[in-house]
Amino acid sequence: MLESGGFDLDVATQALTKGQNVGFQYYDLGLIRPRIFGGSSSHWTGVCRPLDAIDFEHRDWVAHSGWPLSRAQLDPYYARAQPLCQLGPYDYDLTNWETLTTQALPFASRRLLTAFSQISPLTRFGQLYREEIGGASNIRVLLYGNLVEIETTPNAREVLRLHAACIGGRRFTIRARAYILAAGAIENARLLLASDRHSPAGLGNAYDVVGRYFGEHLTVSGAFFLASRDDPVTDLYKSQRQFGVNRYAYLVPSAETQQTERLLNMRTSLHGVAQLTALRWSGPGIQAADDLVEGLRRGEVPEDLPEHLWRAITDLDSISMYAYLTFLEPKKKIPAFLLTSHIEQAPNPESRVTLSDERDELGMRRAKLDWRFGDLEKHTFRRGMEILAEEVGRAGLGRVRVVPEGAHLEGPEFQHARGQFDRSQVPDHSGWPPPGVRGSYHHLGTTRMASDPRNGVVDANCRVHGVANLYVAGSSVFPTVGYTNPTLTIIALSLRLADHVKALLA
Amino acid sequence: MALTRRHFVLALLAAHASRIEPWFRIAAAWASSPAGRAPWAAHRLAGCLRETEAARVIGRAYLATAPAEAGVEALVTELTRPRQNQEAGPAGTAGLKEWLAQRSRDDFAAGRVVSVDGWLLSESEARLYALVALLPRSATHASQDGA
Repeated sequence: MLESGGFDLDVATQALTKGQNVGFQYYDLGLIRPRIFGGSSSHWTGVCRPLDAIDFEHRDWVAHSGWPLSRAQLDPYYARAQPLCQLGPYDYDLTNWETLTTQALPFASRRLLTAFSQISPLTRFGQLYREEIGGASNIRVLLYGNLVEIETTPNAREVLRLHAACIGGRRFTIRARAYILAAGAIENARLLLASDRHSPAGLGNAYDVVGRYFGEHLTVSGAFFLASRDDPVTDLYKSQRQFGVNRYAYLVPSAETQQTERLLNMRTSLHGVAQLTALRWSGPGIQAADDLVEGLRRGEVPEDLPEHLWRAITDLDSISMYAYLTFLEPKKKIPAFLLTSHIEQAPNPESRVTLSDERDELGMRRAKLDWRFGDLEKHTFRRGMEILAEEVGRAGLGRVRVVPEGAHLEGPEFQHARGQFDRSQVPDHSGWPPPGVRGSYHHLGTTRMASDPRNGVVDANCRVHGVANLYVAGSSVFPTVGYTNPTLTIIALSLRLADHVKALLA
Repeated sequence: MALTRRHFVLALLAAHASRIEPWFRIAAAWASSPAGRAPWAAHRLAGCLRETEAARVIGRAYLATAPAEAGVEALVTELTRPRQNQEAGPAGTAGLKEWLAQRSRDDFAAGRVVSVDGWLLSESEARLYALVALLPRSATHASQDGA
């Protein structure tokens, strides 16, 4: 095992990850991918759930969708991945988790469903498994060794050796029967592209796919749910420990809804908002002027509209006497929720990692990220919120407010939800992404899996097309990314790859 | 008062009052309402809401986005337009209120949704609030009818 970092963060080593953002505004590449034993598990959030079955399927409304694997094929590996992440049983059937106090929202249709994630106790793989790995007779760990080139035979059909370098100048090579590249979606692509000794376009890049289809999970805090009942959102939707397992639930469009409405996959979490006044934003509101309505002028919307609305809908819906009983109570008792959506990014060949002309301390060209996404993500968010509004209204649960494009969430409690985008950078998608959109620190898809080498970098066994003994592990092999956090799938795929390589080498 | 086509239709409805008694009352009242006075049908609809001031605020915001609907007659017509699978509303205010709430839920189910300052509301509730906004305050503070 060749590890770039050590057991603790090293500034000089970490600086090797610096790169350039040239697309939609993104995080500092030098800060978000820790080079440390245990990798990204040193700073993950522990949210785990397998991808849905539909995420593996070809969807005619999502270009380049479909895995050469099914969810059923990966299920046994998901089950093995659960305990490695210190999770509960491999059981994501909601009916086995509902209790009297943890009921799903009672929608009248199955357009929206409730799903949930299990939460790992932030398993730090580099710490938890350090002793086991260190004691294994068949594993040798080399720390502070940085892979700088994968050298192949002249016909690029087999890896001959790895070239590694240390900060400070020492260089060495490594030979093995099989090689597994596991450096994250940005570095995996960077290393393949940089290994151009016998492949001018980069290793495994005969069809110009390496580095393309960089994906993320779009996090959008752009809507509110104002409940007409006193407490419709049960503990199910809060991060809580249940049956010895940490979990929290959220709303998702059913597979049928995704197909009917031509949506990407997404989830929407509900976060309680203490003050009703928080349901405001600055920016465009009502845009109208008409003399027919006395007193209405452009932008004249009362600041306490949410409270008026809440009073009106509880009146009309006739759901409970709560509205009356609390009419004179402090406003903070009105149940309101910030809706935060995590949206699948569609595969986009123009969203890509390439090499910049700048070189790092070891002489490697740095990564250049051009992150892009388009109209399908926008449609998914907008239509997803409309469907949510329709279903909560239909069930008499309340109303939904969608933050207008160009508006800004106000108040310190939404500081975390503010986006980082400079809107001037997205001239092709006016109003999109809204200011609340940001990435989720999930780097996906740059060495995607496909049966046909024209469509992907690795095959169903994660082997680089055309190279006999080179494999890729990690989320860079995801052809599509669903809405769920990637770690559990990364581990399931890694277990499957390990089984495959062990069988080959036996 | 000239008999418009709409008044004629409503009067016709009134003639079949045996099954749709409340709309007979509404229609008859509407057809005979003198100009300058809050129409009786609008009064009945608005009377379903206790939170009239809240409704008025939202209604004004809705009308700002849909100024073409800023007319009592048009709003009453839309709010009482017969729909398939929905029986005529009962006579009492409580029954009429539930009838409106069901109409609102049906709107959501059918995707008949409007945006008011980002709030996604059913067409019917937005129009009901708009109706309240157009009526004089004295007309929306009338006593309930014992429903």
